Amino acid sequence: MGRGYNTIAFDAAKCDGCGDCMTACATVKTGTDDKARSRIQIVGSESDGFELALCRQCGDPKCVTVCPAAALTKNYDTGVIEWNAAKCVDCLLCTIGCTYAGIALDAGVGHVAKCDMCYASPAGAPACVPACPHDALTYITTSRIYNEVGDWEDLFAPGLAGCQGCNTELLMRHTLRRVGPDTVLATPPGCVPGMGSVGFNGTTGTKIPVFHPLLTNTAAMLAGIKRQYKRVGREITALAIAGDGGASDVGFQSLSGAAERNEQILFMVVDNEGYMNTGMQRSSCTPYGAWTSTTPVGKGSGGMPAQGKTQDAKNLPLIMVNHRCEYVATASTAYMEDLYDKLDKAIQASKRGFAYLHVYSPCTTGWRFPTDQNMEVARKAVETNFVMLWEYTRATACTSRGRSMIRCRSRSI
Amino acid sequence: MATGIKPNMAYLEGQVSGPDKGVEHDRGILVSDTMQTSVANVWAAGDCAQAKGFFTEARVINSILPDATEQGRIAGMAMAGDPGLKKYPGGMSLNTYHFFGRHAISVGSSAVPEGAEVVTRFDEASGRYLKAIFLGGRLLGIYGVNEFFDAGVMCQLILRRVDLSAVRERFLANPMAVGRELMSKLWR
Repeated sequence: MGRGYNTIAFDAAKCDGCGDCMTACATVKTGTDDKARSRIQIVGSESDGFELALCRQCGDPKCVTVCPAAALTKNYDTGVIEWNAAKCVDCLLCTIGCTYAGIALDAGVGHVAKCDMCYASPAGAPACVPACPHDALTYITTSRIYNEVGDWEDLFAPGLAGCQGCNTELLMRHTLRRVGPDTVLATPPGCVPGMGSVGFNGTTGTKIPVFHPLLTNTAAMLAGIKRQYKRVGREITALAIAGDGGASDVGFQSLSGAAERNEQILFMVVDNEGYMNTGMQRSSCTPYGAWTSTTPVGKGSGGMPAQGKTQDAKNLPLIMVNHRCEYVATASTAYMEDLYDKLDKAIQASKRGFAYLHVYSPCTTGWRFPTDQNMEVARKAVETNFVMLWEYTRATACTSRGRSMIRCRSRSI
Repeated sequence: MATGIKPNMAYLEGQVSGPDKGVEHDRGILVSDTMQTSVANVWAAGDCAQAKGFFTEARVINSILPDATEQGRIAGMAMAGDPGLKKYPGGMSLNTYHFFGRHAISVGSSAVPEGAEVVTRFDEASGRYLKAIFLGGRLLGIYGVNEFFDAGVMCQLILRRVDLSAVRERFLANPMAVGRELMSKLWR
C-alpha cells in the first residue's frame, strides 16, 4: 500500500490576506520579515478572493525530474521534496518544471527556495499554520490513520450495497479494522444490515461473527453473548452498530437496561436523523423542523401548514451520560482523527463496562443533498455547532477538545 | 559563446532499404505525437528527437531538459500502452539563465505573427526589463531580465491558451502575482 503524508490545507473562505503566515515563514526560514521571501505565498485580492501558491509536495514531482543536478529529491518517508544546497547549480530549471509556483527564486540569497513543511524545525510542524489568526491554514495529519490502518485486515466483504455518497461504509470498515477480528457484531434492522453486514444467500457480509437482532433487543442479546464468551473464557469485543431509530426509539429499553447494568459492550450509533433505509420516516433523533416522509414540509391540509418535525431531537448521547456509562462520545466522519481517538478510548472502556459512541452521519438520500457533499455537510454540521463533538468519562465529565463543557456559576446570596 | 544542439545522426545513415526503410530522420529523429519513430516499436525522446512544435506543425528539435523529461514520460507511457497517455502538446522554447550579474527568463515564442502585439517595458533604475507578445488576448511569449515570474506558470498560460484580456494590464504590471492568481484559479 502507498503512503499518506501530512499536508497543509488552505480554506480560501477564511483568508483575509493579512499575510501573517508569510511573515512567520520568512522569519523562520530567512531570519527576516520580508514576505517576498516566504515559501508560502498568499495571492489575490479582497474582491477576487485570496489564493495560495505553495509547494504541493507532488507524488510525481516535475521539479525533481527536470533537475539536472539531482539537487531535488522526494523523501518517501515524510513526503517532502527536499532541496540540497550542495548539489544545486542555480539553473532554475525546477521553476520551469513546476506549474504551481511551488519553487521559486529567493532573490535575497540567489537560490531557489521551497516549503519543507518545517520538518527539521524543533516543532516538526509548519510555522505558518499556527500564525494564521483565522484558521484558514490547517496542518492535516490524518495520514497517520491511512498509513496505520491501511495494512490491517478489512473485515467487511467488498461491494457493500450503500447509497451513493453514504459515509457509513467508511465508518463500518474503519471501525471493524480498528476493533479487530476478535469481535462479535450485532447489526439491528437499519442501514448497516441493509448495506450488507448480515450478508446475502446464506453468507455473511463480514469476516467475523455477525447477527441480526430485532430492533428492540440488540443490547440485551449482545449482553448475553458477551457474558457467555466471558463464561467460557474467551476475550471478545461485543460491538453493536445500530441506527438512531433502532437505538433511540424501539431499541431504547434494552439499550438503557444494558447501559445501566454497565454491560461490557461497545455500542455505536450511526445517527442519520431518521429511519432512512425504510423510506425516510422521522425518528426521535430527527431535529426540529426537519423534513421526513412522515413530517412533511409544505402546504399541509385543513389550513394547517406542514412544518416538518414539530419536536426537538432527543439528545441520545446526553441521555447515555445520565446512565453513567464507562465512556460516551459523539464523533463525525469529517473528523477522522477525532473519531479514531474516541474509538480507541471506547474499545478500552468496553473492556470495563458500557461504551457508547454516537456518530453523526449525513444521509445523501434522505436529506437530499448532492452525493459528493457528504463530508462537507458533516463538517458544516460541526462547524456551525448544529452537532457538537464531545466525550464523557466519569473522571472528566463532559469535555470538548480537552476542555470542560460544564461551567459552574457560583451565586452570591 | 555557443548556441544550439546538433544531434549526431551519422549512425542512422546507410540503413537497409526495403519494406523497413529505417528510422526516418531529418536534423533529428522524426517522431509522432506519442514519440514513436517511423519504425514500429522504436521510440525517441529528448535532444535527439525532432517533434511537433507548439506554435508550428513543422517538427523541431527543442533541446531543453523540461521538454526532454516530458517527451521521455510520453514515450514510456506509449511503450507501456498506458491508457492515461496524453499526446505531446508540442515543444516550446523555455530558458532561464544568469549573465553579467543579471537573470533572464524566457518562455514561449519570440516570433511576432500577423496581428500580434508586442509590449515592452524597461526601468532604467532597477534594470528590470519585460517583453510580452500577445495574439488575440492570449500570451505567445514572455521574457524578463531581472523581472521575476514563475516560468512554469507562464508555460501553462501559453499551453492552455488562457485568455488574458481581462487582466492584461495587471498582468503586465506584476506577471508573478497575477500568474499565480490565475494558476490557483485555473489548474490548482
